[in-house]
Amino acid sequence: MIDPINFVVFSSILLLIGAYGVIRNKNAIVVLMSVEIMLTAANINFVAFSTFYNVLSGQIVVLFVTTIAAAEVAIGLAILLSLFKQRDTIELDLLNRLRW
Amino acid sequence: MEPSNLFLPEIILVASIMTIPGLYMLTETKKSFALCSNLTLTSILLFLIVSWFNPEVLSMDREVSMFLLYGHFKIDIFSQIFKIIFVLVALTVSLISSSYFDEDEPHQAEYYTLLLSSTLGMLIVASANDFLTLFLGIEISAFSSYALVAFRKQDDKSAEAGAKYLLIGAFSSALTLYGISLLYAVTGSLTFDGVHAFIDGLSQGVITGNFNEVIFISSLFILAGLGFKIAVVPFHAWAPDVYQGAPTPVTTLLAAASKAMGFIAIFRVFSFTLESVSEEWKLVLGLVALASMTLGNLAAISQEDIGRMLAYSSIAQAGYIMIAIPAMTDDAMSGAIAHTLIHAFMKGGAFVVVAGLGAVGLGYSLDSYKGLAQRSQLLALSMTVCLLSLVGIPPFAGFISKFLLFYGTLQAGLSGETWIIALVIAGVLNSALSLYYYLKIIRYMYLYEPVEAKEVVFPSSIRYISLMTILLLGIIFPLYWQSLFEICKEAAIALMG
Repeated sequence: MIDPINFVVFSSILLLIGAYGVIRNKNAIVVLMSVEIMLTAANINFVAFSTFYNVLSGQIVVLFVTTIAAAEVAIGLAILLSLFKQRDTIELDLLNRLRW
Repeated sequence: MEPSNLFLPEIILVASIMTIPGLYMLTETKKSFALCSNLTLTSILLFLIVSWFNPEVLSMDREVSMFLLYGHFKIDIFSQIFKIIFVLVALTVSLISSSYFDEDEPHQAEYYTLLLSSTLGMLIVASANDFLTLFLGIEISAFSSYALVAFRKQDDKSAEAGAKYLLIGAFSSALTLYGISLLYAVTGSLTFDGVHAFIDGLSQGVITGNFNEVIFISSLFILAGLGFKIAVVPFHAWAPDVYQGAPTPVTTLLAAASKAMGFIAIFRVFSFTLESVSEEWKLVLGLVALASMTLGNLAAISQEDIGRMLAYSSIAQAGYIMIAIPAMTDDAMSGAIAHTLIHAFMKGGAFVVVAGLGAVGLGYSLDSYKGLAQRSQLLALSMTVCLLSLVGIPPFAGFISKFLLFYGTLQAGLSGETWIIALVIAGVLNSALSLYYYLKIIRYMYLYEPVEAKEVVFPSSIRYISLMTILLLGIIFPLYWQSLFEICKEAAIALMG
């Protein structure tokens, strides 16, 4: 059996990659993709420890989270599309009309 | 045996969420969607109020919590008061929407469907008894509100606010989920009771192991994720933009109901589940509360847009409520619950007036409030009552809840940790600071002449709701403060077990 600490290390690396992508990227679609990586990081924890404790609840969470991720992307793309129709760009730096 | 009629509010909502798109296929009249949504919410509200006063009808007991769906769904006094608040706010939003949007506004069927599904998510959060249900409820509510914020596709600001809200909200929910997954890694359980029991055993030495760092990190992740929902510093950056850019009825929903939803999640997680490791997160929550109220009030002073100003004031109010969580006593928690409830009324009432001015085309800058008293005494009075409540001036409802909150926290500070007293002092000083920008609006409304001499007639639904706000905040809550206090105390005891 693999030591579960390996999974935690792996998932935290994934989380950091995702968070870096969210913070550094200027393109809204890439930010959405990075959020997906972060959700995957949590999923890995759930699956790994579901096996470790021999309970199914963690794997059920993963099923729900996958669905949520799909819904999130659907809504995200819809909103970004309507933004793109108005401004011809989804660069996050240009989202600056709401400012004091 | 599970009494399924306890599920009735959620079932009616789901049925109605499916009915409205069906109506869209059948009928051309746009009024029917609003009517369907109003009827649904009214019936749920009636159901909740009847079951509140006659719990025996549903074979329900106020003293005992009921569990549904194999213990994943909990019905107790804490969940029921917040459900009443959510449905009341959603009904208000539904009523003002029909006068805020034009008769021929497109996509009204989608609007009311999303409004109802957002409410459904909030009701689920109120009753959630495990992390998965909590997370799903938050996401149902959040996804609907992303679409609602970006509802006016042609409006440049609305789309921008929607995109910002979506990206920040998605990021924060990923953080929450990672925090939950770390807690699951430590405890092997997802239910609040299971995690609570494990951590309790850990702190009493029944279970061996050193998980303090992991629990601390996971509580930080959960705080970061839920902190976005309630908009506390440093997770507040989205709030002013979204409150300004979204259509005002949607802002009402976000400011009044969505915020209370975030607080329910925070109460359930921090005041119950992670209660026995409070040493780990106490100081962090205290610092967040302090930063939130100070920065919120300071930033609100220089705002020129009413939505942004109320957003910063909402950030400050979140800071006040947060000071009760490190205090960890029943009294402090009942104060926090009372202030969360009253905050929904105060912010909701203020945004209804904002929606009224927006609906008649007066705009959203502070200047448009000049001379409001000459245009409509009722709306000006309603705004005044809401703003004075937000400051916490007696005899309005905000004073009572703020008093309970500060008094309960102060008691906890005097009998235990002294640094909590500093938080209460900061809260009182901040309330004094906030008086400046609230009074500025009141001064504009009563002492100035209108900028443009334009005769306006405010929609009747907005006038009636303003009247209700005055009655509730100015008369009913101040008169019955004792029963409010008792209910909140019972709720706090039900929450903290």
